Amino acid sequence: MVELLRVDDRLLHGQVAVTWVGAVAPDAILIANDEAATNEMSKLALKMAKPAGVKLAIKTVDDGAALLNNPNAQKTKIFVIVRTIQDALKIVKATANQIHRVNIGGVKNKEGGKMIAAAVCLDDQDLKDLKELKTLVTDLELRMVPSESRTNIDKFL
Amino acid sequence: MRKIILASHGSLAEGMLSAGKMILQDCPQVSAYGLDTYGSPTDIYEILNTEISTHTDDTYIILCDINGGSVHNQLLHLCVYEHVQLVTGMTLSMLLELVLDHERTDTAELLEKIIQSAGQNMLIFNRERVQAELEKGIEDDKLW
Repeated sequence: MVELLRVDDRLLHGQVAVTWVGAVAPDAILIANDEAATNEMSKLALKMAKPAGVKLAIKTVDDGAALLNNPNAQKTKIFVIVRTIQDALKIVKATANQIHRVNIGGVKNKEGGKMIAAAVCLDDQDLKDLKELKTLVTDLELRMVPSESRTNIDKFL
Repeated sequence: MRKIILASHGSLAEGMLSAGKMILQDCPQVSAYGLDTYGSPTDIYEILNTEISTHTDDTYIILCDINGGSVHNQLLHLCVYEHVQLVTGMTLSMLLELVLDHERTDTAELLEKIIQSAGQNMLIFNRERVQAELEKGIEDDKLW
């Protein structure tokens, strides 16, 4: 089962990865990202950032959803990481009622976007997708690292 | 409270703090003292000595850039205080881990851990090794 879905434009990186993996304590990490899944060097970099003792899969968003829909996924504690809010929405929709907790950690700066936290920049599409995401999951929060206090995303929507 | 002091030649300490803030947004309880700004090791020592001697309820972790350097040699004198721990060979991973693992109460254990993991994260990559890693396979074949 999916313990947590995190949105982070840097996917899995250094100490931040270590703290989330520590807090979530998953058996496996699933990175669902189309570019990373098709680039061997990106995969290698992600592997190097992975804390020891946890399994890792790097799939396209579609393949990642398929992997989560496998009944065996119910027996494993899974930490899913995607790069964008759009990918998060896509995987939540494609895995019907399997993902309940979503953390927004890092969303890249872009034109027309508004910084709502130091590492989170949202544009109109992001806001629209977050509103939809909120109706599909039970817990949607904003936080860079687990030790920070949770920011409720409602006030930005 | 546990306070972290970065101390270095040049502006490495300030640069280290700047890098830490770029990743973590905020590095509470971390301050930086480089010789570019503070002039001499003795000047840094005087400032720290005043603070440390008057804050005996806090624990101070001092990260120095290099073992045996003039900053380290001078700040070693701060180890007369029971609430001071001095660590040499400061790296960004050490700083990040100190800030992120602030809930761990055992300071000695925390310092052992950051040194160990700093060492484990010093790696050499080149084409041959990258190739070997890629051939070994990146992902776990069977997740569940």
